Amino acid sequence: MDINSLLSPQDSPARETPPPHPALASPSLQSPGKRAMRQMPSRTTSGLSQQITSSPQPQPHPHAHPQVAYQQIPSPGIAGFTNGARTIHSATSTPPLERPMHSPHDARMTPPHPLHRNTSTASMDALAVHFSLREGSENASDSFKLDVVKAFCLLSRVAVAYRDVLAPQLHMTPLTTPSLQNIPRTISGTSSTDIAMSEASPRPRNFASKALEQQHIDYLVQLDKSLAENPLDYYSHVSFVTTLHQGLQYHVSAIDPGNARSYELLPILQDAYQKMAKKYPLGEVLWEYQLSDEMALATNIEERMTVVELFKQATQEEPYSAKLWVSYGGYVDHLMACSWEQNPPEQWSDEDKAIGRELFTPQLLVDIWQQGADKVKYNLQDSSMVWDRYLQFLRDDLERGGLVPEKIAKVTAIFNERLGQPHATWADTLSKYASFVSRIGGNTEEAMEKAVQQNTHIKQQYANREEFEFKLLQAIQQGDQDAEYNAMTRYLKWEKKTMGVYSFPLVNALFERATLRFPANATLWEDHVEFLIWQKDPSVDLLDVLERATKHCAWSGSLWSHRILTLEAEQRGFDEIEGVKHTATGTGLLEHTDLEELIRVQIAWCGYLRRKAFDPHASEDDADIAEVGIRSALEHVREVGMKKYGRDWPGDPKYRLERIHIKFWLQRGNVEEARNIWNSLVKAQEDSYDFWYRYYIWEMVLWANHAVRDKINAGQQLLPPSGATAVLERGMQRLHTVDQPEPLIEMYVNHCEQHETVLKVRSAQIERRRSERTVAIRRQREAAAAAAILAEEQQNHLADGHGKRKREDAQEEDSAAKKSKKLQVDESLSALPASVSGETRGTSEAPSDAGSALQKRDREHTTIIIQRLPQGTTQTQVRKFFTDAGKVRNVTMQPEKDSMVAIVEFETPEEADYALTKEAKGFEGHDINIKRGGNTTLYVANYPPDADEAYVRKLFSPYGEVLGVRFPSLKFDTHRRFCYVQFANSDDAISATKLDGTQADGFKLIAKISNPNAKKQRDGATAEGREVYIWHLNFKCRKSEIQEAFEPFGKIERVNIPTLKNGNNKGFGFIVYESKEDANAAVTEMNGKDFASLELHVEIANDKDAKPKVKSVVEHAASPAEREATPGEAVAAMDADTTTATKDEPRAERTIAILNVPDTVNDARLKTLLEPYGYKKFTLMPQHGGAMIEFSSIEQAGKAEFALQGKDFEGRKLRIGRGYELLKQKGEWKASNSFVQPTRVNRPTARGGARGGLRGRGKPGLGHRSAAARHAAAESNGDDAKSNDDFRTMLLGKKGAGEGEKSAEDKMER
Amino acid sequence: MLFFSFFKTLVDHEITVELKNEVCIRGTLKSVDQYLNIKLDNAEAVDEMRWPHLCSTRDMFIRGSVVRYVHLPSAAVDTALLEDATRREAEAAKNKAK
Repeated sequence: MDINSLLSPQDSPARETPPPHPALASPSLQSPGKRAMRQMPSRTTSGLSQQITSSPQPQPHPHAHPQVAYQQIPSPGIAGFTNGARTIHSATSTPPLERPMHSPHDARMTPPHPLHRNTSTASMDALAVHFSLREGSENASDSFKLDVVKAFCLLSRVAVAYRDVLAPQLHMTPLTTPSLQNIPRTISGTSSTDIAMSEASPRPRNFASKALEQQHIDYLVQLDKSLAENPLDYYSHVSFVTTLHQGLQYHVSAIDPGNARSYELLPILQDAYQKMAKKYPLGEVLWEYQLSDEMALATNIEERMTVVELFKQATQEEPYSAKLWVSYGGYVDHLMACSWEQNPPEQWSDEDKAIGRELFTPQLLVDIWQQGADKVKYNLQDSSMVWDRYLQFLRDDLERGGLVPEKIAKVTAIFNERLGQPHATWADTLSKYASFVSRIGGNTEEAMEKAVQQNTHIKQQYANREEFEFKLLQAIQQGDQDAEYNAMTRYLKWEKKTMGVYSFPLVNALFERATLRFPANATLWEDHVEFLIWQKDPSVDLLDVLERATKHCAWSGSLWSHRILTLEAEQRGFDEIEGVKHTATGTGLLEHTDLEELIRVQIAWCGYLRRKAFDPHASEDDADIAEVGIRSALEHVREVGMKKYGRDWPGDPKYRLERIHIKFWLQRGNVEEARNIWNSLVKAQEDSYDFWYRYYIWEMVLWANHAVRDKINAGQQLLPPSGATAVLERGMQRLHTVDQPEPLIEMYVNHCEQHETVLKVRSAQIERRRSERTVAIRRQREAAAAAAILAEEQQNHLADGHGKRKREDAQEEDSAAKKSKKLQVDESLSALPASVSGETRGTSEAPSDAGSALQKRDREHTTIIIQRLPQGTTQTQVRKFFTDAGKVRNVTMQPEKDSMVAIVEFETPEEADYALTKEAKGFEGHDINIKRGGNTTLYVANYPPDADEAYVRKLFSPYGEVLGVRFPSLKFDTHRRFCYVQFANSDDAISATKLDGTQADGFKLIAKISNPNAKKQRDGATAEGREVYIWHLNFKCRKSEIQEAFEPFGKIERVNIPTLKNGNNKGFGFIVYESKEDANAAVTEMNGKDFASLELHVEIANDKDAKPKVKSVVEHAASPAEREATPGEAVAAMDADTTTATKDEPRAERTIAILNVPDTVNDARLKTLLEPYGYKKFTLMPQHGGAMIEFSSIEQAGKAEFALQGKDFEGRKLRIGRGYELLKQKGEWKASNSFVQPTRVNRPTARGGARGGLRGRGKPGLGHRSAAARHAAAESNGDDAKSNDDFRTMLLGKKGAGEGEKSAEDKMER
Repeated sequence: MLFFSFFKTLVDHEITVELKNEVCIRGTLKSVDQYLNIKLDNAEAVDEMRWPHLCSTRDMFIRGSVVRYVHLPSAAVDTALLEDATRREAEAAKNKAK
């Protein structure tokens, strides 16, 4: 139930009032609050449907009523139309009124009820209540309570919305809002006296009132407190005023009807209005409150005049608010009725009436309607509120004054104008026009046809926007601020996009609507201002918009600066601009959020001052004013900054104001002053390359006069730019801390080469060398620090195992050392990151190959991950997409559920950074996600040898999405057993490091965030030089004898003399001492000594010369050939084996080759593959991408061939071929693979033979090559074998007699 | 390639080779090569009465092109494996045709 139902005609004393106009009874125009409560059917988009009301009541004929109404009204010609539009509400929702309404107010109050149904906020309902107090019976009061409650809910929501808008900007402390949901229950209770006069507040201000609930009073107290603490708190103001206002409304309606003055909190409310108005513009909603309150309070003619004045002010401040115009017109109308009519709505004294007749003339009302109608005419949705009243008024006026032809012509013209504007109720206006035409005796049909024909484009214009309007309305009715904002911005975007020649006023009006609804949203204001500047339409006063904008968003520096700039552009007077600037800085709101805003205003202001000072018409005073103005602006900013950020605030990081100041002095010809400012800036800016650059350029500009030889300086010597050089030299002193040292050095050297004397150039070159060194050291330190931080992040996950990757490091150092021994002095330089040495090292210096040798692949920083690529994207597309970002090194694609993931590697981290920005662009119309690849990769090692990708994935899947697993190519070393696991994000990767050190099928896993800088040096006896290699041993020597001979030199940790099954040793061995010194002593003492009748060779073992295994030979553990070789008769057995095998079934027939094996597959995995087929021996050759497999019988070979041909293995189809085919195959070549062959590491294979079945069994001595070895040698490329031997001979040549054994051993190892 | 592999799996099994001139020879498959030439051990003609001149021959090399049929011992054929391999081969051929 609500108040409107009580106002319906059948219950109203004003029986004669005509029925409501159907168009205005549309549900769409009801307040959101009511809508929500009553579950109205949803609105349709059609303009026509707006004519259908939700009321089940029979609708009177729209054409019939006006005349009736007019004839019945005896007034002197103003008040008659007032009831023209009233909503009829659903009869079902109207409770039957048991008693006729007789209230004391009936007599006093005005029967005409202005058009309040048009309003869409609850506050307007409240306003309606004010006008209809004549019906203030018990029931009415009850229903009113409900209404107030609804309005209250709505408004508190508005207040909260305001807070949402403002909170981020003003950094307000969140306020505890009492639960407003309880209000309906409590207020609608029967006894309002229960709550009256509750305990007095301890605060100085007492908010106790009969009209307010205790919790609201508490709320007020709280708000008051917060306002005292922070007087700029916008939303507290709003809530405060709103609460007080609601109290007054309730008071007037229920507690002391008609007597607003008895409201206890009246002074506080008025005070609150004033305070608020001082700091913030009231905005549409609060103006409505204040005006409705003032209207309730106004009892004599003077006060009423004040209200009218207030109305005038309100409509000036918010000229585009249809609601304010309507209530303005309505009020003046009411006043006129009071003063003119014989049966006035309010009883005024005769004196008042007399004055009223003088003051409130029909002309006043005409002016109001005219102004209002003009302002709102382009507002598609709300303009009808004003225009309907306006047109109604005109028609009534015509009725009263008789059908004067001029007047008819005028009204017709206005009708035509109206029909020429797109608006929501266009059809309605047309029907009114039709009735008007018939009234004046014209041809209705002809007129209508003409109007429709002329205005088809108008209808089209509205139809285009209808959808947007509907969405907007929907959002408003739901009370959803966010949705409304979204709808509004979308609407605006569309309007701007599709803007045509004629739609400017519409767009402008839409902006006005938007800013009316969201006055505190600076973005909307800025959009509006930018739109106006862009359009340059003279019909809209940009300054007026800016004034309102800055009033509403006084904290927005850009709006203020726009305003100042616009004023300047329009060549307004100095005083005016100064006034604006003072207002801007005077509010204290600018610096409240961010100093940036204040600086922006000051920039606009100082810029203005400077330009004005050097205007051609400027006086000497102007320059002085500018000087003082800029100086004070600087001081102001400084002061505010210090207040905000503390004493040691260094000033604007971009020193923009100072730059204006410098420019000012320069223009004034006072170079010294300008230079002083530069110097004063040095202290705060000395570490900014940008600063030095600007300063340098400035000096160069000064010097530019001397740069050109012309008539003036003919004959003189051209001066070098010593000032600029000095600047750069000062900058060079800051190399240790400046943010970009490299370009600074570059600039300095270039400058000297270009402009300076020979001496300077020379010293600059020296300086350059020195400073590059400095920078290099600094960068190194930074890199070390960064690495340390990274290492810390990884929580001491550093490898303690023998990670394979260490070899790369060793190799780099090794090759660097080899290539540039002479550069060893320069070690600090050569350790530079490649980027630094590459850039700054110009052509003048000898190019260092050390630098290029150090170029390493920095996958961690050059990789990005692209997610959500469309299905079916190809690598080429991805590469193409990133061509402008830089050189794409590698692309890996991975299909996901319904999209693709690409991992793209670039050459440099900068390129990757740039590529990140391409996310916003989207990939062929799809949204994509681009992430940095850093810290998303895990380095995993020491997993079970037979682990494949699926295994690794399964291992890591609990920690997050594994995008890919990268195995190293085994081409260069079949022993590699590590891989990189790529995660989708770094959190997952870091969490997966939990697996580090855990057991996986008996292997202690290593799992760390991949970081090449964290490479560990090889450790262990060999690396530490504690291991001694002895060879040329007598085969008969026993381990104990050797140990005995070597013990005198130090404590032996381990002795390893590989032996054959017959007990003989293999002629060599290793001894590990506890210290390096002992090992050295052993070498000096024992080398060349006679030991068991042979000259012993002893040296420190090193792993530098050893070649990594590029083949891996695996013999089946249970193969019969192995069992044959029993100790003691090994030679015979081997011979027998060889002969029988060849005789029985030729090896070639028993051997097959599998091809197309990925080079990432290791022997263990191949072994699992081959296990079922009973191989005898296989040789994995990743460099050929395959393996040679020997079976013990042709039958087995055939079975295996059968089973393996075309089999899927690791995503490839295996092929079966012959041995020679395999050897012809080239290994895989990856386009981006810049891995170089790592250094040789001696895998002391003979040591212990710990790997059992995986290792070939060696044979002692010379010439005893196993059949297998011989076969392998025969099958492998002959050249290859020879060159290896040559290589070895070359390396070992100096070692003389040992050579034979060594090479033999090597062959066997293969 | 498939047949070659297949015959390789039958090495050391007893097979019967029927030649295009109606001669049938039973023996142990010794080896097979890429032309599907066949070497047999312990060979004997199935109908020795008809081809008495073959009685004295024990080891034979049969040129692949004269073979009409090879009778296989069903126990020596791994049907599942054969089916699998055939399917893969067909697929490979299909892919190649594309």
